[in-house]
Amino acid sequence: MIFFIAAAILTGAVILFMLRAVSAKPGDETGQSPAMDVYKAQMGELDRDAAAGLIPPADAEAARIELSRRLLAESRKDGSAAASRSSRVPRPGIIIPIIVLPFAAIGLYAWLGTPGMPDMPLGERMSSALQNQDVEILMAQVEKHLAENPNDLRGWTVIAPVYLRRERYNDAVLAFSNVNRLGEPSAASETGLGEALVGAQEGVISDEARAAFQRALKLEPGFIRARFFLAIAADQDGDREEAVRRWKDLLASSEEPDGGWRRIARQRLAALQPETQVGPGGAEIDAASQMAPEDRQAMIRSMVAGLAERLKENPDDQDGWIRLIRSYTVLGDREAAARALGDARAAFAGDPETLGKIVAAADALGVAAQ
Amino acid sequence: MTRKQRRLSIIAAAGAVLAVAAGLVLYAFQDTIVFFNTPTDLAEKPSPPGTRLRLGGLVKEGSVVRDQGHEVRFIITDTEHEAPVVYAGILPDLFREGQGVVAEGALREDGTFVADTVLAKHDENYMPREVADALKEKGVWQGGTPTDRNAN
Amino acid sequence: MYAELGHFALTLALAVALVQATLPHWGASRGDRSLMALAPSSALLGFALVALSFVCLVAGYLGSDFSITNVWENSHSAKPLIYKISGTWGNHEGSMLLWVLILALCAALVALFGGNLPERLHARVLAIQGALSALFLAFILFTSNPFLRLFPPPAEGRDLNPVLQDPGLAIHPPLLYVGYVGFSIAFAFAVAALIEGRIDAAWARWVRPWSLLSWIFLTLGIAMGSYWAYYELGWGGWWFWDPVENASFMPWLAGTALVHSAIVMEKRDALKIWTVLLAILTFAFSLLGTFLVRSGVLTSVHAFATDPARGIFILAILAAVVGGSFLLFALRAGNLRQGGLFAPISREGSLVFNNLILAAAGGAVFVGTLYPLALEALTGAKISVGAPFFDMTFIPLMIPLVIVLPFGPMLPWKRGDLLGAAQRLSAAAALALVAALALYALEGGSLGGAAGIGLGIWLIAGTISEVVWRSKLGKVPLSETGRRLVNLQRSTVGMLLAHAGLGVTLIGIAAVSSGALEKIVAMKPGETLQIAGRTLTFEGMAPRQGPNYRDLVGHFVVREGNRVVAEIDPAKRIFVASGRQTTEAGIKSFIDGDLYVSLGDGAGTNAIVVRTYYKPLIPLIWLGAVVMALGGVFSLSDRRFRVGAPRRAATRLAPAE
Repeated sequence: MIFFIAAAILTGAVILFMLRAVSAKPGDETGQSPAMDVYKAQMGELDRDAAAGLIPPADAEAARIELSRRLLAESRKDGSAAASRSSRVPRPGIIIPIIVLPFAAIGLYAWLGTPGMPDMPLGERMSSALQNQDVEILMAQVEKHLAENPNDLRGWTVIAPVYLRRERYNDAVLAFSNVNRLGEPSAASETGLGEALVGAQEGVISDEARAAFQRALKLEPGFIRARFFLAIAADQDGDREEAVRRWKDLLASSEEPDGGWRRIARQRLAALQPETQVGPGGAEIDAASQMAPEDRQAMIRSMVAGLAERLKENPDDQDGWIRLIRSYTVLGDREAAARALGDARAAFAGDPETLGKIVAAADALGVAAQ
Repeated sequence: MTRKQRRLSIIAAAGAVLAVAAGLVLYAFQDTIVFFNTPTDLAEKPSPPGTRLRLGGLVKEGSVVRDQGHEVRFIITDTEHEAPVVYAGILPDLFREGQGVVAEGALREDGTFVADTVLAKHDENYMPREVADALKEKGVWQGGTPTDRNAN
Repeated sequence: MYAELGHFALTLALAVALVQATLPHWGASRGDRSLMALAPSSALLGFALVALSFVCLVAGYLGSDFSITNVWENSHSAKPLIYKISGTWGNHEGSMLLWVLILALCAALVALFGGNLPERLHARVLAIQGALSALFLAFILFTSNPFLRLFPPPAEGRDLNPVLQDPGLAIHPPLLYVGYVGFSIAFAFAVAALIEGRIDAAWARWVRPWSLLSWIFLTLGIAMGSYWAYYELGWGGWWFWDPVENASFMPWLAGTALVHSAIVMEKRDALKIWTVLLAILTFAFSLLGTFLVRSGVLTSVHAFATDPARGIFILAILAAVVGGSFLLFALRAGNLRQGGLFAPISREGSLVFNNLILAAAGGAVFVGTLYPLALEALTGAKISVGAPFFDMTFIPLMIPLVIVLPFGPMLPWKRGDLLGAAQRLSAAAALALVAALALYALEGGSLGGAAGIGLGIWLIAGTISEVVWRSKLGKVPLSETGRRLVNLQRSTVGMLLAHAGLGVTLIGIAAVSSGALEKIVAMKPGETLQIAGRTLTFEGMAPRQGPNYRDLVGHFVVREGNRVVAEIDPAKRIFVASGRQTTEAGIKSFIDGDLYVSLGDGAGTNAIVVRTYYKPLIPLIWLGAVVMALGGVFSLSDRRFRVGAPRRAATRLAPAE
């Protein structure tokens, strides 16, 4: 509120100040030009120099003559300049821009700025972090506390899930490890560690993470989150039967509240199981998995070709290109992969950032452009 | 001297100074310009040994070997090609394995790059300009936005 | 509130600058005096608004308000107070705000002190300054806004680049910017004179002091930057011919020429067109420097191409301002009356020579700086134009200038007596020659170094000859000489100081270029090293904790014979927030030069690589610059400058402020 009042006062003051300037009565213009004053001052200086003996009398005389000549010329010119035209610009022509422009500034500010957003100096945030639920500061305070007391179980227990939520996975791994190390591990803390590891590996469920989930289930056999991640792990391994079993098992535990996992479980199940499948995508993949290896290769090739075709028409698809390069690599066709990378380079020539991501992904696969 | 002669003499003096300046600039350009190369450039069209050039890229991880004296050997890479470098002297503060570097010197007959200068002046991302450009083209480095070196 | 108020004040300042840029022009061409009277008011108002905005940003830095993106990116709560303040301009957005603040300050100064100018000229000058302000305010608001907010605010900032956390760099940008932007006054006067189609001695009286003031700041700013590079970058270099340095050096060369040609114009009513051109050129170089540093084109041509908003915007400003003013110059310069005849051998002639050389040198630096950029943009080839190029072009151009320099002040206006001047300077010439030859014969070293020192001595001795001549020392009674010395005009004293200062700098440059020693060895505690007749003993390393960094300090004792003469403590500094490392060189100045020690990497157990340099007479480089600036101050304090055209009592054009 104070801000809006201050802004209003500022705007008003600016407009008034400028209006006052144009409405003030200007004094009479004198005829004499400042150049005359300059020449007169120079003349005085010349006299002083000559008197001090700094300039030979002959030179001084020459300079004096020249100065007088210029003074004369100036005074003649001045007489004509004094009578120069002057007319008044119509007042609305002045007043309208003076008033309109500051209001335009208000509009510009409303567009660019964040009107009314309060200041947040660090000192103030520190003292009132709890009331304001300032998570960053609270975290910083806990972190500082933990830096001094690295064996404080309560601190690690508080901050670990926050790290996980904020996708600071490496910090989360450390925090959950500390929770498990300092206190009695629980299903929740072991699962947290597993999730953090998964996050740190960008979604890949490593053996370490799997072990954490399994430890959690040992502590609490029905723990949904751990079961959920183990199902995904089976899925990632390509162990279809195990995955289907785990997803079904998960869906069967109906007493648990649904945290969004139920939908994912159904989708995965639909994709994995021919009899319950819904989408054509699932069907194709499933069909492929039932085919003879050569046929499967052929089908994958046709799908990859479809992707390549689609990218040719609509090349503005970063993930598509990465998928295409990866597919070629999986198929063992490194030449095609390199060609695809070359095409991607051409497509993103004007966008080095995206291109960088594609090239980095290709690098990871060991593909270099031709 | 008449007014015209005076004016001509000034114009002639100005012309002479400008001609000298232009001559100096052209002459200096022939001798002092140094081209920037990446290891890939060297691999594809190697410069003749002895030509001064700048070589830029990343210092390959694990490649820095310090000899007894102050001779340092390391490899500059742009992830596609590599070039061995020998440098006798003190490396700048910001010289690190895996970081960008520009070395100035010439190729030896055996293909080793003998550097007499390793550049220490980087921007705030610790990445020499030419290296940043070259690596960005190759998509290796995703450095930050252009920022001022020292805000002058 | 201050964050948003600062932002709002900046948009209001843009509105006011637009008023300032347009209405007074209109008033001047229609002869509407109340409209012209709007110019000073809006200039003062604009300055107040930009200042408010700047103070708000500083407040954000002081309070570590990380909800302001700019503060978060460039500050840290543990940073010492001075770097919290200097962090405000230690980054792109903040430094542009400082730039505009100084621009607005210049306009406010013209508004305040310009009451004695012809009304129309005053209004036009302020309008042009308003247009410049408007362009740069728009640039800040649309591409480099320092007031953008961040929610939720992070708990800690990302810290200022450690090499910028240094007292030298805290004051270097403001000094340099006052220098750069101060030339906007001369520029605005030049363009206003072209529009008005007339230019008179009052014009020169105005342009000269303001240009001189900018020149003083630019000189100090460049010297400060050079000194910073010397002690901070860890290997004792003091000038690199780096594009960023050249960006500040080109306006200095043009500004030096301008300060000199303005004298001719003021005293002799000659060189009008050339002075106007130089005023435009100097500010064009300032803008070019701003473009080079601010557009990112130096960091990476590539980055410039991918994120072009800033670069294109500032390139457009550069093209509009420089192109527009040169076009105006081409159309209108012919209208300016030429006057003042002079012979080639005269004070004017020597100043013309000075201008020619400085302009040519500026051109050489310009080509060397921009050629690599142009070549890369056109062909993609990456080349570097380094010190060898500038040494080969700049130095040969400067030599004749230095040789001729002491003659200039000896020659009278209009028509001079070369022989007489040569006679008066013969002692100085002999001294310089003998000194150079003796140095070469006794000390060895390079011929160039000895010649450089000889030239420096020539300048200083030439200045002394000038004093002797003016005071008629030995020709009149001593009391008369004393009277003459006391009566020397301050502008003359300033000129003598500035010329002698150049000589001092030259001696420093020549000595350090030819006589520097360098020793790089791995040392263990207790080991010693001999350099330049002194013994350096490494006593050991110890850690030390700073406010936001940790130092690893090496302790060295310097002995001459068995006498301890100094202790030097260089350090390696690690900044806690960023983990970045800087080298803090240990420097000890002796009468004959600096001993410079900096620490390299560890070398095996207990040993550390130590770089030791002996830099003979290197402090003279910066001392000379300070003397030059002091000369400028003396000249500026000359009463005739301050008075300018005496204020007319009858009128008060500006409304009550």
